[in-house]
Amino acid sequence: MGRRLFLGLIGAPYASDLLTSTVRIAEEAVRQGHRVTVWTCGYATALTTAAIGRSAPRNLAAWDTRHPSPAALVQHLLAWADGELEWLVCRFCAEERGTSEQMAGVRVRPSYEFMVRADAADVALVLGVK
Amino acid sequence: MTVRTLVVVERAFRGAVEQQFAHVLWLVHALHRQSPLTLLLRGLAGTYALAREPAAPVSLAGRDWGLAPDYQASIGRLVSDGAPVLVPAASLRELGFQDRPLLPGVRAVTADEIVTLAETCQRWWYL
Repeated sequence: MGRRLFLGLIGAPYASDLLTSTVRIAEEAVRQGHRVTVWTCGYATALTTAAIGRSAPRNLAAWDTRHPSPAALVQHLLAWADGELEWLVCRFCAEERGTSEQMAGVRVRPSYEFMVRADAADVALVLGVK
Repeated sequence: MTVRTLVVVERAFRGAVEQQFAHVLWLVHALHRQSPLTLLLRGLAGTYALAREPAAPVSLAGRDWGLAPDYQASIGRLVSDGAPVLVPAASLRELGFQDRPLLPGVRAVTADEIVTLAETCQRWWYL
């Protein structure tokens, strides 16, 4: 029987490979039959805002090639996981940073649920700032 | 007089799935095309200068996801376009890579050489 895995993504994106590690862990856990919650805080809440497109801005050095945005990656993972992955956004962090408008499939949750959900999980791993 | 900028990069690996092609060395090359730069890869960023195979894209949920940042290719473009690309020998020693081959055109430098180099640059930027 699968277990419940809680992944807290606290560290900022575009600063380290925390997001890469998070999505790799989440994907592999789902692949192995577990249920995963990703909880984003801080500027990680900006990864999935409604205003962000599904493609990164074009590379002037390779104009005809489009590259997927992190939001597209999250959207793809949510569809692929078919309910076994949820992507949650901390309301406090989102309001503080103007990222409350999130793309479809991502849910904004009150900050107290961070610990509630971490406690409810079988495994809770927080990828934060040292 | 042409202004030369010394760009120091110390922080490495700032988000493979976020940045893809738009990493710091891509930016450095774009800036160099507008105004001459000298690049110094200190600390962990010194690993960018090692000769090795480019990383494969991250494979997730049945597909390769975008591009893996290709730092080596950016260094190759910088060297081709005349930008000095340097790595402190001390950084390579600290990482245990002092005996590893560097990418073509990249040079290991001493602390004294860095001081001399800095004096020839009118701007010092930490990117």
